[in-house]
Amino acid sequence: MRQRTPDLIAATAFLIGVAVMTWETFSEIYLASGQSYAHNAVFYPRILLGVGALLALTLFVSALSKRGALVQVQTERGKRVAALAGVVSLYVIVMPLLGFLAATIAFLAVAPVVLGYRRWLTVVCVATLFPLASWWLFVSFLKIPLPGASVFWAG
Amino acid sequence: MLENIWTALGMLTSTATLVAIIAGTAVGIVVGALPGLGSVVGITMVLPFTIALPQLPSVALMLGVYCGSVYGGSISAILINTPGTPASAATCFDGYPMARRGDADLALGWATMASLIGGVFSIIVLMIAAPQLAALAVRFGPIEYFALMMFALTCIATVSQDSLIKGVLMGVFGLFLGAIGPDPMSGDIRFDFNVFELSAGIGLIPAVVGAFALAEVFHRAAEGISGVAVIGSVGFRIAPLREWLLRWKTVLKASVIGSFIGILPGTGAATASFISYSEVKRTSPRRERMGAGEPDGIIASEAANNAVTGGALVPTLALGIPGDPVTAVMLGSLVLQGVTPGPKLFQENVALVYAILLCLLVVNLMMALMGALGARFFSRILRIPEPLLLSMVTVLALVGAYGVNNRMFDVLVALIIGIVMALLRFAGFSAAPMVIGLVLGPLLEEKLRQALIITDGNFLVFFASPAASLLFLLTLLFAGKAVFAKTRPG
Repeated sequence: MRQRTPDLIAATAFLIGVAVMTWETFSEIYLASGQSYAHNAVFYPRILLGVGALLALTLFVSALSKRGALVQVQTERGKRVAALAGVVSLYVIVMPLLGFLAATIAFLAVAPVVLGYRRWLTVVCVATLFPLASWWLFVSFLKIPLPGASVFWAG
Repeated sequence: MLENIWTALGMLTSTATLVAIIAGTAVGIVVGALPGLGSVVGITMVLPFTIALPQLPSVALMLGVYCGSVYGGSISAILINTPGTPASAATCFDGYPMARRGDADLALGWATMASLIGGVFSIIVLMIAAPQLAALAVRFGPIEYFALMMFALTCIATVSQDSLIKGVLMGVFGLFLGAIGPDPMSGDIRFDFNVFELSAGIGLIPAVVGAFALAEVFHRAAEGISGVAVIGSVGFRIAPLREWLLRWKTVLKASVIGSFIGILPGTGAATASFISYSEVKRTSPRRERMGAGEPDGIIASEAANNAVTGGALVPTLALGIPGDPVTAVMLGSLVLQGVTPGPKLFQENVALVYAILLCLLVVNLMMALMGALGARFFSRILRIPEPLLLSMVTVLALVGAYGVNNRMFDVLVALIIGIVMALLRFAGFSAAPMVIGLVLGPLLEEKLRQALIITDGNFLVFFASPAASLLFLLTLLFAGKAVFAKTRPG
């Protein structure tokens, strides 16, 4: 992969995002908005989208103009990050289903292992004690409700 | 005035406030000492607690984390030659060599006392400057406020690390995120794509949690987990008074630099510590020994970076404009607590302002005390395995996102922004400009459109205001300086 590739991808993503949002500003729901600058709901967002488009285009052209050296893609690192992102995503998805306590115990049992930590006893201790301590601290002591389980029981 | 001070003292001496100060400072020092986390992550981690606490304890907690984390970075800088926060990078130059020759306890003593002095000095600056600035800002109308916001946005250029284009693009992205949800003038819902939860907009806290805490976790996972070599067991020792008296000019210079750099938008503790270090290296009678374990180097860095904490609160409290990403998060949290920083705070809630100043003073004293008594404990913290630490940080961060409105949607927002930000970081983008844009965006739009109503849509009338014209000129100068600095060769 060339050094400029991430810049090209990012600039393209921004340009696509700007295009989608600009299209959205012309939808019917905003037609009833006022005509003057001050009263038009999409006046300010359009300025931002215009500036964003210019900057993204500048970044794209700037990246294209540089050939850039070849860099080795660190696939191991990518896999580790993807795995962690997957575990965190799963954690967020199951939290409302299983409740904070169960979901967090499962997450803390898996996440350190994904990151390469292999002391199982420590993992088990942290995965058990930390969620319990957090639950007590937030729910019982600070009275901040945490997600309960919708699947099995009321958490 | 005396009555307000008495009221403030009464507020300060409540159990909740004192506990918040102790807990916040301790958490801040630990978070600051652990490389890679930083002040913003520290404040993000305590956000769930600020929701449950009353006003002043909540502010005290955040101040404790802020000051504690800036100081805490010196511990790892001295013991393992890795700054806990960027603000302590310059402390490595002399702190680690001093530790390697067997004076780690003395180095910690220099760092702790310098941090205390810098922090207290900045409180004096805050006491004098903030009310004056607030008194000036009371006379500001929408045009002047719009000009002030534009000036504040120049800090985006300053916090853009390597690429100015990428930094400004992220700033614009943040401004746009702030435009999602209700239009401030008409109430029309924008860019919700028929998702009910988006009708309220993107919350600052979930965005910060994702952009800083989660993105940092993913970034650290990518860098790989490494072990660190910690210099044995350490104590704490303060140098004799005569050694301090020899260096009084260094202490004063560093404190002044830190305080005033803190006031400028966008320039944080890291900038202050480097500027201070280079200035002291230029002028100190002991400059030949700097870089080899000379206390002047530690004092220059640590007094300056802690002096930033008070300085950065000047625009935050007086104008409602954050001085750096850390105060941007604090600002969002203050608003959630019903504290609206700005000129009105100094008119309608003077007792709270005094209470915040006193809190800051107690936090600095607590920080020095904890540093002195807890040196051995904090050095052991550095041995926590990073995979466990990152996993626990993730849990606390997501709880913080959930706790604002008790909605899983906010957790989802944090996750999405975290993943997007992690990917953008690999491409050389940074989160700080985005957060600044998100904080300033809604106010910027409101003032712009109010100003356009007043001027009947005529932009040229903006320049009829001398204050606004001056601010526009300063904006151009700062922006031009940033462009010049980033584009000149070498």
